[in-house]
Amino acid sequence: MAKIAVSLPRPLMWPLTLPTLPKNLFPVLLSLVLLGMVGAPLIVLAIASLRPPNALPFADAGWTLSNLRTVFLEADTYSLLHNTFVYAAGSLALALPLAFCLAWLVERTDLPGRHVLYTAMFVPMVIPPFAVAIGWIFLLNPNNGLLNNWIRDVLALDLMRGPFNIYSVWGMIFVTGLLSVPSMWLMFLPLFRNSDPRLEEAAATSGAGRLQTLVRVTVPLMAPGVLAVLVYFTVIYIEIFEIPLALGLTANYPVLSTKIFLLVNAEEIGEVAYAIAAAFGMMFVIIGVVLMGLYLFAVRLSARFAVVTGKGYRPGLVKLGAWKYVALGAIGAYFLLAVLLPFLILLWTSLLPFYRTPSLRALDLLTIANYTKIFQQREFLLALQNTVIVAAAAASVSMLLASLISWFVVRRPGWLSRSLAVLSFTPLAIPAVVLALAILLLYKGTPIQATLSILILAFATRYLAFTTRVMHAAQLQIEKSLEEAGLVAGARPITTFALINLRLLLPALVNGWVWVVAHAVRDFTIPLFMAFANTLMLANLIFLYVGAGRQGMYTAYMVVLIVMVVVIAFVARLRFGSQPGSAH
Amino acid sequence: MRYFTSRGGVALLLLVVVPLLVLVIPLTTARSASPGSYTALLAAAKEEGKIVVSGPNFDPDDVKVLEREFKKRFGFPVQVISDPGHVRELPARVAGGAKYDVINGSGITAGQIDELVGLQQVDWSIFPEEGFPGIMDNYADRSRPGIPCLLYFRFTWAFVYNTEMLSPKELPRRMEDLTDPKWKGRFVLSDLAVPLDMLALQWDYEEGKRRMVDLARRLKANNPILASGGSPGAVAKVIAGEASIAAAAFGSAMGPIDKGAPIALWPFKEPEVGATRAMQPGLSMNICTVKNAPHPNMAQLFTAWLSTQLPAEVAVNRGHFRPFREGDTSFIAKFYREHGITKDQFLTHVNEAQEKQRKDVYTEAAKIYAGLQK
Repeated sequence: MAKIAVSLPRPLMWPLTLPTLPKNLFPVLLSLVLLGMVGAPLIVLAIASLRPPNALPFADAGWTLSNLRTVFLEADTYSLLHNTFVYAAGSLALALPLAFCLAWLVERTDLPGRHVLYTAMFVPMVIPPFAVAIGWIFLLNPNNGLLNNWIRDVLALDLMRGPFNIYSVWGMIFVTGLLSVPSMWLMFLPLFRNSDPRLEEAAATSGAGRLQTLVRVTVPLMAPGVLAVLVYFTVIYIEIFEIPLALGLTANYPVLSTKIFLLVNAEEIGEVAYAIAAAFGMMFVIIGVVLMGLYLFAVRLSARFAVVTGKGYRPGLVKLGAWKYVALGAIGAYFLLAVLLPFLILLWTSLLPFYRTPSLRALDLLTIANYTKIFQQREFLLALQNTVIVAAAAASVSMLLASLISWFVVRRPGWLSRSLAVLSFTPLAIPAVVLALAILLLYKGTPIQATLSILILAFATRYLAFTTRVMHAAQLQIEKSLEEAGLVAGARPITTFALINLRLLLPALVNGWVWVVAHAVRDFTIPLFMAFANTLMLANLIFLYVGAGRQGMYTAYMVVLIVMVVVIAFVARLRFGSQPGSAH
Repeated sequence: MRYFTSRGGVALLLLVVVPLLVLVIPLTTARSASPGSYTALLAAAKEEGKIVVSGPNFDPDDVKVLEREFKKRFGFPVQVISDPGHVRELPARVAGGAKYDVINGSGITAGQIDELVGLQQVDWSIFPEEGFPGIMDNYADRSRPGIPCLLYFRFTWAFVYNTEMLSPKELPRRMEDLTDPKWKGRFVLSDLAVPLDMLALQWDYEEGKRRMVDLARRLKANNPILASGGSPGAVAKVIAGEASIAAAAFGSAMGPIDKGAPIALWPFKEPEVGATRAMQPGLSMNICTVKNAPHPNMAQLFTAWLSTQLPAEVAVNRGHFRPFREGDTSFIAKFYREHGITKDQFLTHVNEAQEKQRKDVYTEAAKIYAGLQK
């Protein structure tokens, strides 16, 4: 067969001069990195679970199975597990359809303003969950909740309390579901973006209605991706604790995370039950591994569902017609409930020395003193600088690893890539407090101890599961013929990955990066354990004021933090992100 | 090189270099031991110029006040670094390499810190009484014998109520009163189950635990609002009007009252059911210098200063109150006197058995509050 000389543009020819490396070298190296990041904390988790209740993992305190017995054999645990799964199922039932529909509206319809919506969806992500919970307590507590007062007045209800009570499992599901929508939406986006609509067009041509096409074509095509989202959020809901803490205690609806919180929130030092918290972590890991098996099954189906091909295509946009007003109304309602109302309450409180129900009389108390104080604090500048550096670096590290891992998992199925998938998912199952403790202890005495690097490592590890899920979902939708074209043209695999694959995945990369930044900025657990005086983060300052009950100050800090992350998100998206409905 | 391995070289080494080292090294590491006099301590502290504190969790506003007032008092500056962690994370942070100069905590906390990293034995008598009023009383009043600390402040608990929702006539007189159906859904409890743990100390271990755990169940059955984050969270809910009353640490209300919040304080007026006298639940907190502190002299000076002259602004913000002694003219002392509360109603020193009793009661009561135990 005659050889054809191909003249390639310069970028594609780099780095042709590199020597050929063994095929599995890179995934093996990647596995070693992951083992270091994830495996070591897992080992610490296992060791911690076998120590006496209040002992640190590496203390010379003997071994015991009592913690594992407590967790796995007590009826209490399974009662809490039942409550937890009911809470999780309810939150999924609320969030999943909302997120799916929002992703569809943004990516596949002619909804007016979807370009703005595409960026605005990052806003609900950056508000700390417990801040939203606090906001909803002000709005819907049965005694003097603002909305309850208003409803009673407007409808002339003869009630001393209610009619709504945020302190209930429904309240917990409502707030959790609302707050989960942006992250779920982010994971659904690549499914729509990279899905070839010609299959749907073919169904329409054959006479199928919109609903029939949705049910028989669109949903099955996206099934593996949707399953991945379901799996991920099930584990998230098992571990989430801010909302069960704020609402569940008074609601008398304890869940597993409430128990862990109680174990690590002892009043005295030496009473913190790291060991039992770690034993619960082992339970989470087992649940995570089972769910991971389900996820891998979904990944194996991916080859049948990959639909983005090298042939040019543009996703068609569904014309909504008059339904766009319904859609816009629903979106407006979502933002009102998830963002505007809680944010306004936070803003209101930040302008007061202490919370007062909004009224004309309370206007006299408004002041910017809290903000003035913040900007005069030297600790604020240090914390701001540290927070930006840590969040940005952690996001970059996590996204880079996630991109590489997801490529191997999808493109090179086998025992090695399955190991990578399991390892990357595992941090999700480790309670944040145990992960922070493990990393802190592992790196004691090393050069990165008490530096920003250890915080970056902790956050990159913590969010690796999400970033890998985002990149998996995106990678699933890209058919390998695009990369094969690059290889045929003479590019090395690494070149193909960098110049073809990553370019296609850039929107998912940007979205994931912004998500990690938002979550790293608003996280409390890791800074509380791992930040020292010179590595102070904004979360530490917020926590100080929360602990002191100084509502004006901590809400002011939250507002500053939210504005900061929204600006970062908008800049990142405008500069590097793509717009909805555009070609890959 | 050959010279130094010759006999002459070795002699030079032994006669000159070694003595020099013996003389120089103590000078360069002079920070370690107590200088032995107040004046020497001041000079050494000035040279150190920095302090790392943990446990107090001073926020940036407090730090600013502390630095300003310290400089006013002693004539030289100090940089106060308030560790961002909470005292409950202390073992993990120390195990992870953190170093502190000054710690505060209860008697049991101080004892645990002593086991963990060691507390510095200090001769507090070198501090002149005139400049550090009551320092030796604070040493005597530390909440646990054997810890080389000073009494820092006392937490006491009281009812905190919203003055726009309740009048004094309607107020409860003991915790038991909150089990009355008229309070259903209208009162706040801290998720940490205080002050039941302290009230239990009026009886022996079994009796106190039985009574207070039973009270916890009945309080929980009356639909309280549970505040996470302890007393400040509970007080915040009363200020917000979400509930009309809470049992909270006295000091948590002081900062908001100072800023005009519509709340006021009300003591425990009557004994709990089965008790012979009304008890004002309380807890003494100590302040200690850490062994092998990075800035040992500043640590001692700062500890002595905080124990005896904590700036009022910080005391109010943090709810830190001076010890309640005869002749005490502080707000808290006046408050209790007006309500006929005497010093013997405060149980501020607890022994190890009582600490265990307290811990066991709050562990079980906290589970009941969280719905993890019936």
